[in-house]
Amino acid sequence: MELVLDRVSKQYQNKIAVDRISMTLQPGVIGLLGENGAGKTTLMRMVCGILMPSGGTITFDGRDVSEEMYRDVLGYLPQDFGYYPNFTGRDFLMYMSALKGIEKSAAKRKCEELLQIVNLEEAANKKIKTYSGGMKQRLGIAQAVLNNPKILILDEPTAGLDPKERVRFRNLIAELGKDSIVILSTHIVSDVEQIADRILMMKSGQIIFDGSRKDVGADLEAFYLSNFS
Amino acid sequence: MMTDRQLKHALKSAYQIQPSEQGRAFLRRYEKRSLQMHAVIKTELRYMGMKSLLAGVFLCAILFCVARQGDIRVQWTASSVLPLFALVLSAIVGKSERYGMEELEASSRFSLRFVRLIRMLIVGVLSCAVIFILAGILRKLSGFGSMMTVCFVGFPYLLNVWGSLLITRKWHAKDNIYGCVGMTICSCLLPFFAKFTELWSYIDMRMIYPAMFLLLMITIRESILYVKEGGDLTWNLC
Amino acid sequence: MDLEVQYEKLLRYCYMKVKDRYVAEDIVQETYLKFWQNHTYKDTGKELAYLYTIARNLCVEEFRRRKPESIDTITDVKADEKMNPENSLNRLVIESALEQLPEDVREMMMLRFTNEMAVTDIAKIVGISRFAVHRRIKEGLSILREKMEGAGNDD
Repeated sequence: MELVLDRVSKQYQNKIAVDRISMTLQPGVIGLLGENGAGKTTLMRMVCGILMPSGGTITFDGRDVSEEMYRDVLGYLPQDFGYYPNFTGRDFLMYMSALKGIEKSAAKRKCEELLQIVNLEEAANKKIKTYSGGMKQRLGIAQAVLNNPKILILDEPTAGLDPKERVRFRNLIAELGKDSIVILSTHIVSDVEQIADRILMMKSGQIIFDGSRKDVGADLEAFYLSNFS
Repeated sequence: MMTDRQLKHALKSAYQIQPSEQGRAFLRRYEKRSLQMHAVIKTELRYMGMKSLLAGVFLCAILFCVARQGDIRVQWTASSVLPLFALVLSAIVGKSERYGMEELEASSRFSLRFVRLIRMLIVGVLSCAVIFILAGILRKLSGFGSMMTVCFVGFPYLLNVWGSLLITRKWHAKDNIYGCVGMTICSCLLPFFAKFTELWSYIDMRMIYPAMFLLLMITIRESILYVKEGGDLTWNLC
Repeated sequence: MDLEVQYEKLLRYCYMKVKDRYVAEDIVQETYLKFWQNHTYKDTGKELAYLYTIARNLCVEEFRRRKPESIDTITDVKADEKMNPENSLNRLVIESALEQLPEDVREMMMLRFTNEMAVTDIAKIVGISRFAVHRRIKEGLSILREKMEGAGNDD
């Protein structure tokens, strides 16, 4: 299982959002650190196959990421997402299940299972507009794993979560990283500190650091700040 | 002497073998995966936006009732009100962007492209039904042929559809609905414009045919571009 | 149920090759799984030649695994006869005749007339030109006629 980026770039108008990034990713948790505007979201969208690169290719086990079969094994949590009015939590998950090609009875079972895991069982029949930020985020994480993805992309996933929820979330991600590729894009260092096997740092569209947890040393925060000043 | 036909017939029974129970289970499991398009279509229909749809249906019902009783002036009114129906339908088609669901839908297996396609097909079928029913009612009043009535009734409507699709494609902001509203107003006023300038006194009425055909072609083109665009969220760059 | 029809046809093809219904079915399922690794489910109807090529290669691998003495065509046909009693005599006759043809001709005849496959696809699977396929099939039909009529005369 391998995700290969080969000289991937994205340019629009006069700005280069992503500048010739190449890397190979294997199963595990990969932390992508960088400030807002570093190009993380643009890169994540290209890896999801929902944004065409201006140059370069992205392939997963040899298959280009623009193909339907790739999206079948992909899970994505965008930085910001909405919901149709009057959707309940359960409606939302069932809607996404249909779009992900999951058969109805299997979808029902999976939705119940996930609602339990993210602790939204009681709120499942309530409308999403009544949810707190943290609840909405948990719902987002649930929809991302509906199809047991082999590759999971999470863009700023811990926004709005309280410390206890953050810990639960980290445990869930560490579990998923055992046999899938999980890319965690964030500007919060503590998110990746404990669970990432590999750490990437991005600035102005380029990867300025690519190494394992060990290469970084004891204090990720200090290391990160030193690279970004 | 056996004929080729007899031989070929005999060959049909060679190596005949039924799948086992386990084989049938295998088939059931995998057959389901390819049939899921029906599920997406049903889901889209279910979450179509009942309020919008009801408003549209209500509008049409009024239109039909008025059309049945009125005189020739009704035809102008009908074709100028129809673009409002188009506005309702375009609100349904543009739901993903308006509610911020486009990224999630784009990254799913069926993709935003498919969602847009389904919505446009549903909306397209409804539109055709409304236009043809209305034209059927009005034809008896106006004395024009069926084709011409359909063209007169459908032209402002189709113009609105084309314009709204173009606006949605080129102007990517949540506020583009206001652009669509502007387009609708223009389309609604078009029949009145034609009437007050007495357009048909110096332009042959049959010119509506090529005009309609051209409009249909560019609308189809615009629709295809809109559906395809669901695969590349370039406008979302920030 | 297109998938079911296609599955049965592929099963018959593999059975012709390996003569064991359980092994044949395993091969068919493995073929589909391999096919779906690189294609979407809706491609399954379009890439027939590719699907059969996968199956063909798996059958060859199966042969290499087995010892030659264990392939006993007549016994297997009789065993299957108990499971599918209908048309069993016709089947026995046609299958015995087919077994006397050269292997490649048998394969092409079966694909063309039993599985109703297009000549273009057969050519892709077997790896020869369409003209060659037509020629071999014509040959095959006349040899088959001989064998069938010979079998009739023996009764």
